Amino acid sequence: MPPGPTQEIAVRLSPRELEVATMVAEGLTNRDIAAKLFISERTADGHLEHIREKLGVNTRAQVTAWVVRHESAPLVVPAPSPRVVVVPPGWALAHPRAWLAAALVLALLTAGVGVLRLTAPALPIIRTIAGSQCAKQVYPGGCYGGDNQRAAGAQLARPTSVAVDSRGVMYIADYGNHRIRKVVDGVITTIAGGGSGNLVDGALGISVSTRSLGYASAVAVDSHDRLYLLTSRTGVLEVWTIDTNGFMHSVVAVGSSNITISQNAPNLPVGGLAITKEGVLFIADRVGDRVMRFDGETSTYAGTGDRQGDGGAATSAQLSWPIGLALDKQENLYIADTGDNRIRRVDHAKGTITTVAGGAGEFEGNSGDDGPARNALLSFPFDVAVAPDGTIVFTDTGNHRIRSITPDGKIYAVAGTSRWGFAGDGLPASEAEFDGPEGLTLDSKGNLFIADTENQRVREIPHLFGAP
Amino acid sequence: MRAFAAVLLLGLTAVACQGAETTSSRPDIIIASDLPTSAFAPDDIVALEQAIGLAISQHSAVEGYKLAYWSLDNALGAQHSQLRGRANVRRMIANPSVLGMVGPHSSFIAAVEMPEANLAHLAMVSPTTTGSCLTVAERPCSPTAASLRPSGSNNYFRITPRDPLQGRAMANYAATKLGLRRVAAFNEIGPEGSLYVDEFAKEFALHGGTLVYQQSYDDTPDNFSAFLMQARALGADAIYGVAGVDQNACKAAAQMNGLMPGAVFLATDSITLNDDCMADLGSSPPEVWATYGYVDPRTSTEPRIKKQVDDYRKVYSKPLDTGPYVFAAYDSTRILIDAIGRAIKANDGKLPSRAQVVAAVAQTKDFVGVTGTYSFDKNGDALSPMMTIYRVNQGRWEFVQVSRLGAS
Repeated sequence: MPPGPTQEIAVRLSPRELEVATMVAEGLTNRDIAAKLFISERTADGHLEHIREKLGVNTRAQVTAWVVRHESAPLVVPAPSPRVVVVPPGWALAHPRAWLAAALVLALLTAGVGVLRLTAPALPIIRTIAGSQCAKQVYPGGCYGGDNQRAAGAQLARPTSVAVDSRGVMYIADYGNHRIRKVVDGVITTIAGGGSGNLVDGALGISVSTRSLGYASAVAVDSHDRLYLLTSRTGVLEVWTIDTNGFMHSVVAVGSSNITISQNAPNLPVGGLAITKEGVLFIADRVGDRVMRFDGETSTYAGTGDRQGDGGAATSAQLSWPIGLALDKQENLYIADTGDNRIRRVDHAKGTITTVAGGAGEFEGNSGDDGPARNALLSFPFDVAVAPDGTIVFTDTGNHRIRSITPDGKIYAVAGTSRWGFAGDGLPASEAEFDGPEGLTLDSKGNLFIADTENQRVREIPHLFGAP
Repeated sequence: MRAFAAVLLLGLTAVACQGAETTSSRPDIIIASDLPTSAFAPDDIVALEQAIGLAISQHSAVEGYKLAYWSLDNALGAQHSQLRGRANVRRMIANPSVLGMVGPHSSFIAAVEMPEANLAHLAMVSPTTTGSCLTVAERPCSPTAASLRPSGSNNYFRITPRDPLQGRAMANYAATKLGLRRVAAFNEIGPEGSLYVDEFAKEFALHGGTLVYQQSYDDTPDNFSAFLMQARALGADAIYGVAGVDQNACKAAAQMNGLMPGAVFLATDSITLNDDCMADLGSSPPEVWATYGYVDPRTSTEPRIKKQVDDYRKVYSKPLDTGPYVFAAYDSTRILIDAIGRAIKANDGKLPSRAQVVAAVAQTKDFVGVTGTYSFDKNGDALSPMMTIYRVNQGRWEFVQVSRLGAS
């Protein structure tokens, strides 16, 4: 039986898309729609493009006709029912509980039941926990506001990195605002940056509002909940720390970053950070195509070679604009080798480097889900995180999605439709739309936090690697 | 019409990129473009692609060789992306039919694309990049113009004037048309901004003017009163502000109202045609004049140019279709096509190498375009680039005149 109008609407368009479609039918232009919904014109364009695609139509008139055809139907999408789902193959194997679901599917198929409808588990849902639409969109995007208020209502500018400490305190590299934001119990504040003076070693963090952090593009916390940030103000890649009392300290400077604060936003993080339990720092130096190690002394840990170098010493391998870093329990280092469209791994004991995902082709791409990660194509992965079970999660930034690599070397979809836009809050993460998501991190409870950079938001997929 | 153009572009792209069904439909030569098509303000960029596509469609064959267009998008997550731009150039290089590219759109993208293209001897003709570090070394640049050309020879060309020349154009106009003699300048854009001021001072002095005072700001001031009072004390009859709207340039102009009555505000393309500036200027702004490194041929009264614009509008008729830099993209593409044609002839009718195309672009001599007449210097800069002067009149930007700069 063909679906009725309500079913068709519910299946095809998101609530936002329905709003946009209805406004198109009312004769509003994209600019009018953008103004009415407090979104950018570009976002309205994106919604309309998706609407056309989903409805299989080409013109606004056809969208209007579709709305008119369904005007007798209530333009309301039923709330998603997390208890009745179809398991998407991508998510399924990345989630421990999904093995159970997979077994159930197999059992049902074996029993001759052809419909994959299950009652458990719930799909991971995505939500926004910080950032909201700016009243006025300013190139290159984002705005500043909302301190001491609910983080989800605050304004960010191109957040590039996010870190969460053991107490659940979240830090955001608010890159476009040249600030570090902090979220405690859902309330956001600024803890550093926003001014124009030089940073001073030992200055109280709160006074740093008069100081310039430059392009602070990576944040990380150590095992003592101490915050580190990687930035560039004067063309030098620098690591600073803000201790738990709010004082700032210079940690190390690692050569030229090629980016100064007087430049317009260069649209690329200056690098990434990872910290071992013992406090050893790994610093991705994007401009230098290398990863540095700092334990009081600075040394090259990976990169600077002239060939790809898989299987050889990491220091002899070639990296291309590495950005995100993460360590697993054994302190093997994972590198988002962004310009090479790969995720690399440096073996802690041997110092050798391998590719764990990407590299199947010379250029970026978007393929390989559910297969060997080495055969997949990625598009400029910016950041990486490692779950306790060894699953690697990374932002496939150019594909506007989040993907994972299981310990058996297979790659799966975690979140995102691959279309850029902003959509999906409250829905399964697989239905979400991102816009150039750059940073991500996992907290100790298995919650995944994503810096949805061009949407000016931080989003969360709760309990991705842990029980609700 | 835009839908038609999109289909046309798609068709061209398909021919170029997806591979043809038969050998006979495969293009012999591809001109590629690298623009941030899906970034902010995509309509402006789509208009550039339309212009490139139209120029190519008007020359479906060059000296008998089938020509096609391959448009590449260097946006990543709404931003102009160095990562994707560099990757796009590598894609072009990997396709032997690509003999030249139009683009990129931004100087900081050019900085990562140029070394790649240079080693492959791929001609780049950019309609929009204006950063001085791409071609000359008037200040410490990182990377340097030389390091952008690792092969040692130039492959990058542009028809827009490099940014600091705005200072020269503004000074010339201020001295010769506005009769100004004493100007104070402030700069909020760092070393590149200092070059604007230097160019201004040199040209102003040639016409008997004096730069009486200058100040650089590392931050973004809200209050310019100290600077303005100093300027007034030194007898300045105008302020030259090298800063953008976001850096409060227009607020500085508004603050002149009480402190420097009758003085004129001179500015750069960081405020030109920016409507947000009007709000900052307030209800009683000073006279505001500003430069723009592009010539809008819609303002031309020359019959030849009017006809070309009219013909273009028959294909693309919406206002945005002929917006800023559209005709620069059109001219850049035609310059490249012209050079490819000459390179074929110089190669006895055979397909030229990329290096031969680069050499032909370098030898471009007085190419008559819609936006100007072009030849290039050894760095790839246009020899006599064009600059436009605008002014604020009753709360709106108004075209004043086009200035042809001397050898740069």
